[in-house]
Amino acid sequence: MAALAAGDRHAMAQVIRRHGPGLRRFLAGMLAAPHEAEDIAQETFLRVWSAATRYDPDKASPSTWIYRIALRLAIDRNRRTGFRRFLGLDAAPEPEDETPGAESSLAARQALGLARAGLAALPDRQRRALLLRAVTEMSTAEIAAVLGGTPGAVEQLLVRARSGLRALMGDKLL
Amino acid sequence: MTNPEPMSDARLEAALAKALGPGADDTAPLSRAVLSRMALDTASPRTQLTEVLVTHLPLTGLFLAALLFAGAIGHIFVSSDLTEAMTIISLIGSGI
Repeated sequence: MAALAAGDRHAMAQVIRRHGPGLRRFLAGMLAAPHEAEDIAQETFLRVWSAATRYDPDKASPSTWIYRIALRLAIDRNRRTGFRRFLGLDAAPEPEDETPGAESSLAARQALGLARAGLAALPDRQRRALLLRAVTEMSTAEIAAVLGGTPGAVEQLLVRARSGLRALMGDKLL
Repeated sequence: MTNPEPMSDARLEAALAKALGPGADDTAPLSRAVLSRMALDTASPRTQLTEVLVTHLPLTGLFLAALLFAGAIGHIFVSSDLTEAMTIISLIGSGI
């Protein structure tokens, strides 16, 4: 993070390599419009870059800090998406993926749809906690630092989220 | 046929992460996009300021000069004696 604050672009590339995959998965599960995950991931890293000088390692680990930024952006985007849908401006279905090999990834897309449907049925905080645990393997304390709250409360959220997802999905995700 | 064993926490989370991330591990496009936008963002504030100044500064200067000139003319007419002004007007009028 110190290199990042000093304006080292290679350090930024390393941060993206390290946190990019998890962040994309997190946003894919968080956003009401999942095709915006890439856009919000980019926005998150740009915020990280511009705010790197203000990062305080005593207050949060890099991953906690990055996911906190991403969470705020995702919540804000979901609010806008909800408002646009309410106004009927965002009712169009998502465009189909026409890239070569798209058909071969049909199973992956079905799994994604299934996972998203299951997550959408969970309360917000349960969904956020479960996503952070699943895609980042953060500790309960780190998740609590991202979401705000105590590790005990996060543990309860995780238990309820897993239980809710199992009840909804059974073993369909496997 | 369903699995009688309930999915363990770790398996559930791994399955969830896998389902959410088709193609998420390839960070090269994301990295390229972010680094490109970083380059643009770094250049843009100064560039935008320069562009604005180059385009609008001469026009603004001209406008301010005209405003000052009009103000000065108005000041001369208001502060001087009315008869003097009328004399000037009549002189200009007689010149035509």
